[in-house]
Amino acid sequence: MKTSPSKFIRSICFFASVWLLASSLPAQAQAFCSIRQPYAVIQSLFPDIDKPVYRSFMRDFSKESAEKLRQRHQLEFDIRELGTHDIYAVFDQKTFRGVAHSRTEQADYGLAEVIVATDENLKLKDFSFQRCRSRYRKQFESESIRSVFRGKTSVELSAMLQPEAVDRFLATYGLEPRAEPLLRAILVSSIKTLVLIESEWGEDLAPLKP
Amino acid sequence: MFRHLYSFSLLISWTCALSGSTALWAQQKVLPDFLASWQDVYRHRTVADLSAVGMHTRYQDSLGGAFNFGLDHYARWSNDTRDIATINMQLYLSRFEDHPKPPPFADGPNDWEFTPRINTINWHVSGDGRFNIKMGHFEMPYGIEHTINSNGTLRQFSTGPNLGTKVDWGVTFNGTFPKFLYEIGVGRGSGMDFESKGDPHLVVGRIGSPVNTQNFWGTGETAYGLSFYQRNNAMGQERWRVGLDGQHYIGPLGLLGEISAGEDEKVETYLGFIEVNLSNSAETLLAYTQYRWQYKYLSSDWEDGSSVALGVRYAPSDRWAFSTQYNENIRDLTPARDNYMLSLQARLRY
Repeated sequence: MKTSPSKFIRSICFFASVWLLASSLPAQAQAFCSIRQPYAVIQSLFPDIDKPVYRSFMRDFSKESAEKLRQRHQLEFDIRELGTHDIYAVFDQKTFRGVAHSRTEQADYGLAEVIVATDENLKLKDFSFQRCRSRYRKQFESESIRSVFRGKTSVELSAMLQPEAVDRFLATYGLEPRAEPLLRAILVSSIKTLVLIESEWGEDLAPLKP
Repeated sequence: MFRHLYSFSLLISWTCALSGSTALWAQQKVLPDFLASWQDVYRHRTVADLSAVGMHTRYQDSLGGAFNFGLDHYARWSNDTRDIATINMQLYLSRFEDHPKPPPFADGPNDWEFTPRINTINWHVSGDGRFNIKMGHFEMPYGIEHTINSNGTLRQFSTGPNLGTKVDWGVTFNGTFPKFLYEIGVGRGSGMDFESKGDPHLVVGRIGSPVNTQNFWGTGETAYGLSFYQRNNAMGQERWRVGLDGQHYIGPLGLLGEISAGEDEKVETYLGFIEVNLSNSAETLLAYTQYRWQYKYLSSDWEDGSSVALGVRYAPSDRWAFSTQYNENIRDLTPARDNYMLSLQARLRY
């Protein structure tokens, strides 16, 4: 029953060697954002399509790309946002109708996974939550708030991130100041989606656009 | 043995290296056209997964260990306008050293094992996600375990004496509708290894809320599920279960529970599971406590058994995770020595 210490240490050494070897390979860490039940999500974000179909495009989002976007758009990326990610191109029959993409941002009580949808011109169409523990979730899911975001570009959404704009938004919709983290999570997710789709998946989507 | 081991590790290392390189080359446009177009229809990520677990128990002088090294390959095969199939491949090599509670497929406490975990191809038949056919070595779509990705972690949700099967070879039909998701499977019934001797078989299925089922931290929203399971093993012994599971989140607290009822060879049995967990808002730290309970009619009277687990997991990035868990039986269903197990795990996914 009892194993000699040398045998135990030998096993540790062997696995440590493999570990080191694996560490030297190109990083392929697990995707931080992914749509888990694509059909249900896509159907709710594209209700105007009777029977939507989709195909995914996976791309690696590197540290270098993150740095470029940080400089160009003042966007900060968590280390967990690097790696392989995917977008879903949505079709009505064979006509391209937009994109759905999942982003993860910190909100109150946990990470909020926000699914952001664009229209065929890659402007913001809508958003929903794949996972969100915030108590303000229901309020942000209301039609009156979601409609504010529709059709916005990344520049317009960035303007909404300014402190005075955030305060004004919360006051207008009767939200408590503690709803701010979730509002910021939605805005940042939407901006990152619009910016990343252009920079990382532009080539994939170019042949699909009208 | 070591010759095979080194061959296997070399194979894994080269596969990792090539998978990373081809993705990089495709992005840098140095791949030949036919290979670049292959990247368009077969998108994948391959992760090397290494885990070391140390275990200490009351009656074992030496520290027990479980070392796992594997390749976790996830891919989508697509055409111009839709995903055709999703491929999952998890091939692991495991070494058990003085393991105080070796898994059933291991030949004792000291063993090398090749362990194929989840290895499936899920054909998206309808194209809209409502009807898919999954083939291969699949995880049981049963109970709360089905809603949380706990593969390879110390935190587990299955109650050992409940199904007796975590993975099996077979086919499942699965899909997601706006109001629910479902998965129904038919399996060989032999578990980790494919074995037709004795003609075992199983049927298993779950229908539940359409939530995110692939997150370690839980669904993050209220969700319910109803499951069933029926298996005849190689000795012709029958086991069946029906189960109800649910989870709910209040602020930083998560409450998860499952209750199962059924029979083991015509003997009535009831099982329960409860977890209360607490996580930080960055979801890098999780503390949890679990309580498992079983009530069974044995020979002439009802007997009950229960156990408790306390655990903490710290994952500073999606590559590293450090976990510890303490398990102790509170009451044994059948007489056994009082024991506990303290486990420590370091895990790297790269």
